[in-house]
Amino acid sequence: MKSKYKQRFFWGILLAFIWQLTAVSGIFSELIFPGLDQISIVLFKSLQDGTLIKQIAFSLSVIAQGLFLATIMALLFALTAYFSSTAAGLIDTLTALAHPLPGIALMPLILIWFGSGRMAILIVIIHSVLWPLSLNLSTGFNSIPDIYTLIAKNYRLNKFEFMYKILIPASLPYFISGLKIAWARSWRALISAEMLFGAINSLGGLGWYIFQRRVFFDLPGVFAGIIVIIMIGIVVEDFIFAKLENKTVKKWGA
Amino acid sequence: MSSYLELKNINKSFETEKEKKIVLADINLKIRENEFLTILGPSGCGKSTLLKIIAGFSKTDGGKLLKKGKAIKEAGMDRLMLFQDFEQLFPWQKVINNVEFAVKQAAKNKKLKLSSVQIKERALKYLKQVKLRDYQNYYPHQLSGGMKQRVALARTLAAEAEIMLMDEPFGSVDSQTRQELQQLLVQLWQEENRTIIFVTHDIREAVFLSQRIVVMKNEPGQIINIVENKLPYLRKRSSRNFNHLFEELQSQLHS
Ligand SMILES: Nc1ncnc2c1ncn2[C@@H]1O[C@H](COP(=O)(O)OP(=O)(O)O)[C@@H](O)[C@H]1O
Ligand SMILES: [Mg+2]
Repeated sequence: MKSKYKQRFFWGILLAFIWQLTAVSGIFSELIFPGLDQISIVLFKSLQDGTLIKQIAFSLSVIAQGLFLATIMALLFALTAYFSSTAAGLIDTLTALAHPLPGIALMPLILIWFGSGRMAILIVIIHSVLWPLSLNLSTGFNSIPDIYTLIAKNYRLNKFEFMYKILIPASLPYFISGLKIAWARSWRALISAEMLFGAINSLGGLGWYIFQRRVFFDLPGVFAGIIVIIMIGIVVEDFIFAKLENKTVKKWGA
Repeated sequence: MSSYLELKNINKSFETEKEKKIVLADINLKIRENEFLTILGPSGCGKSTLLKIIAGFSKTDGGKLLKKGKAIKEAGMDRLMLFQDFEQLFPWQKVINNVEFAVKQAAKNKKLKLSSVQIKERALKYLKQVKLRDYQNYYPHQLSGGMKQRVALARTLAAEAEIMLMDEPFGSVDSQTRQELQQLLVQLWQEENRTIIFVTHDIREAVFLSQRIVVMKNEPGQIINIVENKLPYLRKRSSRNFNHLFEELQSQLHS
């Protein structure tokens, strides 16, 4: 585990070094291939004056809201499908139709129906997350050992008790891996939606920020945005999800 | 003598694609209150199926299941099943919480209100009975198979069921641990009055444990004999009478 970070650190430094060498060598124009020094200056400045922080906060709050809503909906879908085979048929059909559809294909339609505000981005996020997450949850629910349902019968758990005492904890590994997929997909969907939908009162999120920097041909700014996106991705996947797994499925011996 | 639990003409068959397989044919059995009964038979003779019917997990094709004269229709906490499968514990809960689960459900079933301290006290009492008090904060995956079965036993005891149904609960542990568990079970049964119906294909296990042994045969599953086992507890596996009964049962099973 530790050596993974050591390796990443080593290769990261090496790649940065090569980058910087290429930049100072003058093979490419400074305008299209800025050095790390320029990029860091822009990054720190825009973090300091709040312009970038504002966009980060916007993106993170939209994705948190979208993930939260989509998780609730996915739980409802998967639970309904688990307890009713009629509903299961409907939800299965909906999922089969919607799951293969990339969120980006829906964006023109969403623009027309919902405009380009926060609501539109939320819908893109929910679409990108809801289907894979409810599929994962359903798989999790359907693969709990039969013995648990017998125990539930034997100890006379009602549906509600069965749900929170057995069904959900027993399928938590599936839930977490579903959340990881959900995060990855919604993060991508968010950045593209922000680029397409633009901003209201200059608040459009990280995707919009990068897009806008490009308009001004501010490549260090573009790279600053990209670095922030990478950093957030690493923090969420390597720290938040790792911690969640250590506190649950790893501790339970999965 | 009035019977406590009564099985009358129980029949059960399973339909597969091609054929209808009769698994239990005309099972009649009277079980006494607080007795230790084993059901002994070769693998596949329908022992688990029979126990699941008594538990109320599966329906019969015909026949009656009566407790104190009243028909049993569904599963309930008066008849608790202990399985062979180590997976019967909840891996997401510590040992103590696994046992508390049963205490809580039992209290709820009896409409009793217990404080969290009382719940823990009761759970600890049963963990102590199976000699695992020191392991209360372990997760199931940190325990050996034998210890897992002891936790499962504690959970079943903690539910304070009148009848305990045991489906080869010690079938997957090594023989030394199995003997320890058998001894523990006899001891616990003697301390507190309970009816135990214990399924096994191990003749020595049946002789060691029970007061009566129901002998079953295969194809279709039928009761061929019911043997009283009057050997005094705690039984010695090396004694002459023990081995005499063992041989008698062996010849019946192989006839
Ligand atoms: N759900 C089921 N569907 C079809 N056949 C079953 C089912 N459960 C048990 N059987 C069959 O019934 C027979 C008895 O099984 P079981 O009660 O598990 O035997 P035992 O516990 O004595 O080994 C076996 O032949 C088994 O294949
Ligand atoms: Mg069996």
